[in-house]
Amino acid sequence: MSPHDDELVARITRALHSRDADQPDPAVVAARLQQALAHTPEATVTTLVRRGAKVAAAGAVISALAVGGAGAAAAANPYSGVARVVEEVAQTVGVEWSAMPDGYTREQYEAFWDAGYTIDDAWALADLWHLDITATKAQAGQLLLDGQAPPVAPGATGQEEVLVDVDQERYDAFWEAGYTVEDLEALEELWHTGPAETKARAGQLILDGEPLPLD
Amino acid sequence: MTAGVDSTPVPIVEPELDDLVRVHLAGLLRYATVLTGDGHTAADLVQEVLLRAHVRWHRIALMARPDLYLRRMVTNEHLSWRRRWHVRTIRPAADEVLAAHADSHGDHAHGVVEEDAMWGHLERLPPRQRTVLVLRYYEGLSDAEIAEVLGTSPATVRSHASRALATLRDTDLSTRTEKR
Repeated sequence: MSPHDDELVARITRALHSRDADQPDPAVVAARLQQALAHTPEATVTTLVRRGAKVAAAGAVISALAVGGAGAAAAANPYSGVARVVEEVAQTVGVEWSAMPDGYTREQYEAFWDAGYTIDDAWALADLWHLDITATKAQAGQLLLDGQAPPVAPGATGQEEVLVDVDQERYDAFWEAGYTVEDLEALEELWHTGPAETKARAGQLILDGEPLPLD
Repeated sequence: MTAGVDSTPVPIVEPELDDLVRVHLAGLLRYATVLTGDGHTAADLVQEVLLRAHVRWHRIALMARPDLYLRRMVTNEHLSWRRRWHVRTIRPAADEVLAAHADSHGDHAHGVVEEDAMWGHLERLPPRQRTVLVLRYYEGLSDAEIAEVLGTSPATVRSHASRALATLRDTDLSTRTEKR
């Protein structure tokens, strides 16, 4: 590597590190995980996690923070202190980990997630409204605050969520069989499908013991 | 909402979730933030991935490197979301914005402007090439580890990295020449 490349790599590294300050607070995300586990009885987790166990599971998220901390970021931010997370779980979901985007308030955020929406619901709304995901959550949250119902009901895409999980098994089958990105691209070209559909289709063939149409 | 706020200690009935959060959450968030360039997207992405990983953690935990597997999940999710995201997102003309920054800020901002310029170049790389650079120069993974994350071979990783560096070298040179 030439000295110029060394300098280039150093600048790439600095540019990448310049963005890590934007990372969300792990305590907030842990609280959101708890929220999702507690609020999505039809979502992915219900296939293996009993409803009764889910509350305890949610508690375990918080206990993990209490026991080990979630890293320096959480420790460095007193607002995300473990005590606050434990004592004000509901309030903590949606707490700012950095400045919230313009037009997106904590109330909107909480209204959206507290209504039991999933991330797939958010994407469904985003597709419907042609908005980015943040603006979508803000708009849906505001509708809820105004007493109106967004055009996608909470958990309406739950079935899709389960299907996504089924897809994940197929994805795993594809990768665990040793296929590569090049194989994936070859199949995409052959089948005229996107990567997700290609992996799911190929994974299902593998699970069924069928060969893939590759050289 | 009463979950986790009971006065009685909460039994850790699911140590896998405990492991996920304590061991992996902060690192995954850092990785996702640099991968996506946006903390809010990173939070959504990691939340989605961990909800899925939690269900299958008993299997993932048996792997030699669950950390790499989780990064694979984050990476795949990012690449999948990115396709949807870019349909709707109109990106600002980074160079013009950067030029405006360069004009309006003094020496103090010089390093920031340089970093923003490089970030802009990185954003315009093909997603897999960019992901390789993030994994190599931010996560500090070896090419073999990156290959495991991307489900490809070390040779392909080196190829992605080599092409990305060549593009950045050319872009960098032309940008610097234009400035002179």
